[in-house]
Amino acid sequence: MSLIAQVLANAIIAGGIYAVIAIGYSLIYSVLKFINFAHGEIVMIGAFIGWTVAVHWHQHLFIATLAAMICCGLLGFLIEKIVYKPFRKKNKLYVLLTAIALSFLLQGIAIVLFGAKVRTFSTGNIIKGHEVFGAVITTTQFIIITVSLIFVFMILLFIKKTKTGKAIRAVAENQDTAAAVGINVDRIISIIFILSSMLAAVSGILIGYEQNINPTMGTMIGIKAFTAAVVGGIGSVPGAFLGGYLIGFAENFGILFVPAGYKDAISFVILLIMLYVKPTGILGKKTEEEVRV
Amino acid sequence: MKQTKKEILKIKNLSAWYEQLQILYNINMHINKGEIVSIIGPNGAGKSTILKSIFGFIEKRTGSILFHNQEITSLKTHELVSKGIGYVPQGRIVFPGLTVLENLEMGAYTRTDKKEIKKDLQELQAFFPQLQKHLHTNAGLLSGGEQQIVSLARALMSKPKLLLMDEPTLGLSPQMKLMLFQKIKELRDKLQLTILIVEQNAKLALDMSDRAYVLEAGRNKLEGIGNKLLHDKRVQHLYLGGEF
Repeated sequence: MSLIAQVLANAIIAGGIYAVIAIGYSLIYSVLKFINFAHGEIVMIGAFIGWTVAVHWHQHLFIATLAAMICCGLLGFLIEKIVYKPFRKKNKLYVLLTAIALSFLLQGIAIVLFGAKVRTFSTGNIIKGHEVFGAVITTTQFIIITVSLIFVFMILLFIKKTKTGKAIRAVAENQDTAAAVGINVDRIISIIFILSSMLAAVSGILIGYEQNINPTMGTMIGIKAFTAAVVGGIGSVPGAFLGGYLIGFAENFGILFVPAGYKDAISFVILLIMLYVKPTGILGKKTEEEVRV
Repeated sequence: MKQTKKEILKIKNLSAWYEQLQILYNINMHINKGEIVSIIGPNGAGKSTILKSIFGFIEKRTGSILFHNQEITSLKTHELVSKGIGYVPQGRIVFPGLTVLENLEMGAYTRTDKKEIKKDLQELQAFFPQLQKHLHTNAGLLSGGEQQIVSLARALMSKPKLLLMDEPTLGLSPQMKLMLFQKIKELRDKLQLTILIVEQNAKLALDMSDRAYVLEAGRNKLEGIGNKLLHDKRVQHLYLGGEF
């Protein structure tokens, strides 16, 4: 019983983080129809900025998170304007290769700035967790669960209810028609990159509180969140939310049945099955919205 | 006719290209305030391209386009909406995943007068009763005719002075076509609109509009009063090589 409860708790923690990152992939895909493979690196940069402010400069975690969100938001904005925009009307393969190149570049920059050393947010003190239904959950883990849920629901509400959120959906459905009603499509694309990158920054810090951080951490977490976005239905924000938790649950419950060393493989097996059975994902549209990376 | 002869739109020597392919050759046109003007011509004559050029959808073009005597050739599409130009795209294009109400709200994207927007929403629903019962339905689920009305109503929500309509009757039933044109005429009178329509159905268009331009292979061919052109031998020759 307590084992199941513990696995459930771990699944919710991991799922929340995947969901926050996956939403970024899906938002960008919904409008630009390409996978921003550098998104995982934004997560990593966010983690390092948060670490610098919180640990290195001894600031409050709230300030560190805010700083990471602002810096990553700005970074996302600049990346779209400088790196992606020139290729927007070209073959999608150009943007894809650019994104991969960019992720190596960001990793390189992080190694230069922060060193290749593994860093950690934790102070070294071992904190006793709280017992909930037999599972031991630390205060930080509670915060991770709550913060990721808050951000996921804020973004869902934003997309559903606000004028800008509706404009994002309109641009995702038809850019020309969106322009025809007076929506500045370039501005909406900038907003999407800023939002996604801010979410990435938050998840980077959340990860930092669970694991060590290093300049290559973005690759695996990025690919898994991408998997979550595809499984949920790429381009769909609720789908990314669903996919994130699904991958979190599959990974953590999976290791009850297969050796823990295969944990990372679980999400990729799910991705393969999904692409074979229902390439549009759980909530993806039936039309041409299949993944084309 | 209460025409004031005030030019609202003027097109001078407009040429336009899709990639390397030239579609329009030195088009000249003008539209007076309060007029319904249609552009007709055989398939591939470049009718829609004129609207797309006005509305900033075609990048490669020369010549000039004046709206209220102001050069608008270099403006972007979304800027033209704020200037007072509305556009109803070809093929009843709605935002399918947004509800009818959200589609209409997006039509008012450039406006900030919330109270007026609410009032206009009410008025449009009274004018197009079809909208009312589907307000919270995703627009993609409506019938073709209903989608065309959503698309038209959405364009009206920006309070345009000039409305560009690209083949609004395409694929509609004959009764719907007639109904739509009657609504367009009513709208012109009610909202002091000026309307430029590209129309496949030349007979209907000439019948319903004040003036018309006939295009052939991307060039101005004829211009004149709607129902006079209707009986013009040259127009009849252009279509099917004889009488309608």
